[in-house]
Amino acid sequence: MHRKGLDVRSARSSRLLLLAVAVIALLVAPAVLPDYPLSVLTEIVIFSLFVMSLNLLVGYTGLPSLGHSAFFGTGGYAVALLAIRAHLSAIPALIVAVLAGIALALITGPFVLRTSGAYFLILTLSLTQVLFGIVWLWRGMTGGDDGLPGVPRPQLPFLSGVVGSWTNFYYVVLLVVAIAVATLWWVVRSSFGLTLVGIRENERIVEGLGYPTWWTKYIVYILAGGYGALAGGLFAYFKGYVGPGQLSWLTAGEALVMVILGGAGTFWGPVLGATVVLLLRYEVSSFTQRWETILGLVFILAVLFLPEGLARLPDRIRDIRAKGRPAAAPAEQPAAEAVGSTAIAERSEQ
Amino acid sequence: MTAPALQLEDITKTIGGLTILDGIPLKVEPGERRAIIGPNGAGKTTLLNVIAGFLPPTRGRVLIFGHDVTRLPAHRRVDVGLMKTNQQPAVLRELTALENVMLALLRGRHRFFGLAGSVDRDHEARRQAMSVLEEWDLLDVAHERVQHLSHGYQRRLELAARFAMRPRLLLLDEPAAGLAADEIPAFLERLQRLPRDMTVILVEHSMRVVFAFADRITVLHHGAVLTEGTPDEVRQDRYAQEAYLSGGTRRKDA
Ligand SMILES: Nc1ncnc2c1ncn2[C@@H]1O[C@H](COP(=O)(O)OP(=O)(O)OP(=O)(O)O)[C@@H](O)[C@H]1O
Ligand SMILES: [Mg+2]
Repeated sequence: MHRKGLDVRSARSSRLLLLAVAVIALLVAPAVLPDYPLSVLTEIVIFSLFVMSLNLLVGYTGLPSLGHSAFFGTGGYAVALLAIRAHLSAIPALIVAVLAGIALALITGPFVLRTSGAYFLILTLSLTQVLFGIVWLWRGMTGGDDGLPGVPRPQLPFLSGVVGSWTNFYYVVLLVVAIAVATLWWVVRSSFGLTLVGIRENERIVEGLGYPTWWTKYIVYILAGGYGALAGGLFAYFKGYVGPGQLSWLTAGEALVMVILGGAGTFWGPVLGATVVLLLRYEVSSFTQRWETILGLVFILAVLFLPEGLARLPDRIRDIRAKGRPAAAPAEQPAAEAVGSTAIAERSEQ
Repeated sequence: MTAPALQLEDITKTIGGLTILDGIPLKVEPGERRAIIGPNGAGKTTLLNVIAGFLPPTRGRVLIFGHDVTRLPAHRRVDVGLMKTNQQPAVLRELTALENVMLALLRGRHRFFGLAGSVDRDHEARRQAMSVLEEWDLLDVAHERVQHLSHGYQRRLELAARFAMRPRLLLLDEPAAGLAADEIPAFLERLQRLPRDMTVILVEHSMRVVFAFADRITVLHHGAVLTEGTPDEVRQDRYAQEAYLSGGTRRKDA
């Protein structure tokens, strides 16, 4: 008991230390990074949020979505339309983007949540395809396959003039994502978060404990939609452009790879997944066109050798080290008791 | 007059043209310990699932403490005081023992589907969960993942989480199955210590447990009630004996 308590505490403080180092590194990054690597880092930060929102569904609740780009794209188009057509500033535009994502989840939730497992995957995939089709056909509004260029990048007023525009935008993204991630942390550590994991493990058992599991799934789907749209809005600002590619199921698929690679159901796994995949993409595509093939290979290797994701690597090492210790509860023999008629007969004779 | 803890009227369940439950009536008084026995495939588990709301009956009504719950989903039946354990212990394997009990205790404690409260900061619930674990001799595995626990531990954990919720009507599906023979007396004693304001319906193949525990016994055979009575009456009943003989028994030669 004691030893376990100490283990937990030291693991927690080393994790806090790691977090503090990461935050400081993110804050000072613009001082050492030129514009191009800084823009890659910005994209990693945005994708981290997007992948974390998908992880709520896939990792925590066990709902494998292949259509999360629907929300990413919706947020992107909301921001682009509002910024270009209505000249709305970033804060209200991002709020509307989140509301648009929530609205889309509210409407589509009852349809996709009729299913789970592979059917959920297919239904969410078709959802993105439908949106993709709408964008394609509604050219006057969405620009069709040309998309909407000219989305102005928001800046923090008190930093403008002090730092360059990429650095300034990087801090905008960092601020928004930090706030979102803090609320996500609250969500997964709340009783609601524990219910999600329970549903992933066995929905019926959770229902048997008196939880309205369908509503729980609906709410997490809505939350994931909101966070996904927020990331999508930031991404439109980042690109200065939104196009149907942001809605494409390929984007959702890439996010799904990031979830699994990083560690589904772990809080920071998505950040690792997003970082590794995006860095690889930019590294690899500088010397070969076959980026997709390389990503596929990396993914296969990861699933083979690290099926639980990068974030669980420390746990795995600890498990292997702890294997020498005796198990907590030894396995037991199955019941060896007479049953049925034999038992009735025996009882009657007593 | 108080309403029965459980009343079934004409419960019938057909799956794919097969009649699994055939017009079952049942009436269990508040505080009663009722055992339901019968050979493998008699429909005992199916019946408990209909009562708990996991399977809709094809026909018939389920009343719990006078409330007609036939159309209520399983989670709403918990509100009228019902809890059920499963043939395979209903525990969440990826979670720790503590988290399993916490999940049971946290129900309804925090608003907005639990979004308003943090698991780690609810010290009150945590303290309560630890004392539940202590009561069930599970303290030493509190932080152990359930999948690493033996069957006996998982069974105790399942019961601990259910009892922590103070049900008024408890359905137990073969709780003694898989327990080692030397674990059964202690387990039986736990069952007998349950407060009398709790009504218990026990499905069990271990006749030692059934006859020591039950006030009344219902014998199920081919989805119908074969006979019902006190342990003594059932013990004398020729049909009950035959049902078990013809239906075959599980682990007979174990
Ligand atoms: N979903 C289902 N579809 C078809 N048949 C089913 C289904 N569930 C149960 N049955 C059948 O219904 C009958 C009753 O099953 P049930 O599990 O209720 O029996 P039981 O009395 O609990 O048996 P045991 O003592 O082995 O646990 C069995 O013949 C079983 O094969
Ligand atoms: Mg059964």
